[in-house]
Amino acid sequence: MAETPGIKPLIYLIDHDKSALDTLADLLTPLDASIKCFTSAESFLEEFIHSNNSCLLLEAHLPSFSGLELMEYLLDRGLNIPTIVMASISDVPTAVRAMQAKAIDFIEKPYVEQILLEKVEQILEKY
Amino acid sequence: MCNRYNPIVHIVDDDDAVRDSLSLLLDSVGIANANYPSANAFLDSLLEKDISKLTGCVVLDIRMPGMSGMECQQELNALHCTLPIIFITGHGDVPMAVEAMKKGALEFIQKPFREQELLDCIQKAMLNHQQTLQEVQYAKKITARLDLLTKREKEVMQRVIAGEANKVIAAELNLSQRTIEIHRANVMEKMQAKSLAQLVTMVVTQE
Repeated sequence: MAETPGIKPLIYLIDHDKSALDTLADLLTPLDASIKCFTSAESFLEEFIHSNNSCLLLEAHLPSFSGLELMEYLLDRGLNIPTIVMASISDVPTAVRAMQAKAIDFIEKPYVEQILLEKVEQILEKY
Repeated sequence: MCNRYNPIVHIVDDDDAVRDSLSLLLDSVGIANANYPSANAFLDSLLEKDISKLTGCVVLDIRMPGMSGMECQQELNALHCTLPIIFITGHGDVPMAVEAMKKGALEFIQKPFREQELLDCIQKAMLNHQQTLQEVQYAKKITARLDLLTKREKEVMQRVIAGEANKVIAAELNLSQRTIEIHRANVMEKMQAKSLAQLVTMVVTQE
């Protein structure tokens, strides 16, 4: 899709672990995107505005409103944002549920930095 | 439309015990099923059939001698088979599950599983497939109607759907308002739309 000149892509990150958020934000710097970090699904929802050229990296297991519940919430409301679900405790049912909620990908932690960076880049180019 | 085959659950697993127990389970709740000891046996059985008429779903093991479940999924995709696929496996890991889901599997269940869980999944899959087929059918119907429109009628239709008044469309296309009204009426008739809202819905869902 054509990029609107002058508007940076927007990446949302959600993880209850603040240091994980920082590491991830640093990793994504080369993409020259606006990065917004949230430690909970609720705080993300307060700020989230549906737009093109954005994507979401989301930890599956969050303390209150879980990553998967968030995805299902967005799906129900037709708020499609390309999403990569990440999980520190990763099992097949969680992965399957994430993909059923239309995640673009599901990545186990610890992730391989280069691969994650490439995947995010591909998403921003495509969507 | 109603010349589809009856719904069948196709069980593909090299393990006799698994095939037999699943078959019994489905028999016990009155769900028609067929079982195959290998992916090739299943694919061979499709040779004499019209794939577009198949209904039901496929319960597919991952690890089998010869063609694997994942390879079978690939073949089914190549054949444009729309049957939902439920993978069952004693060996699955996350990357494999993600791969299977990306390739369009409906579900990926690890053994051991509760029978009821699989049953629920199968019933959901079959319902899901019915809906998909209805949507495909509807899309074909609308496409056929759109094909009846002339080029001019399509031009008028796009503007009507965009909410333009006849007067505006007339000016844009350099035609009389009366001509636009006639084209518009033809569009409504050919598309079998009873209202503008209905016309919009039909066309927008095709895009």
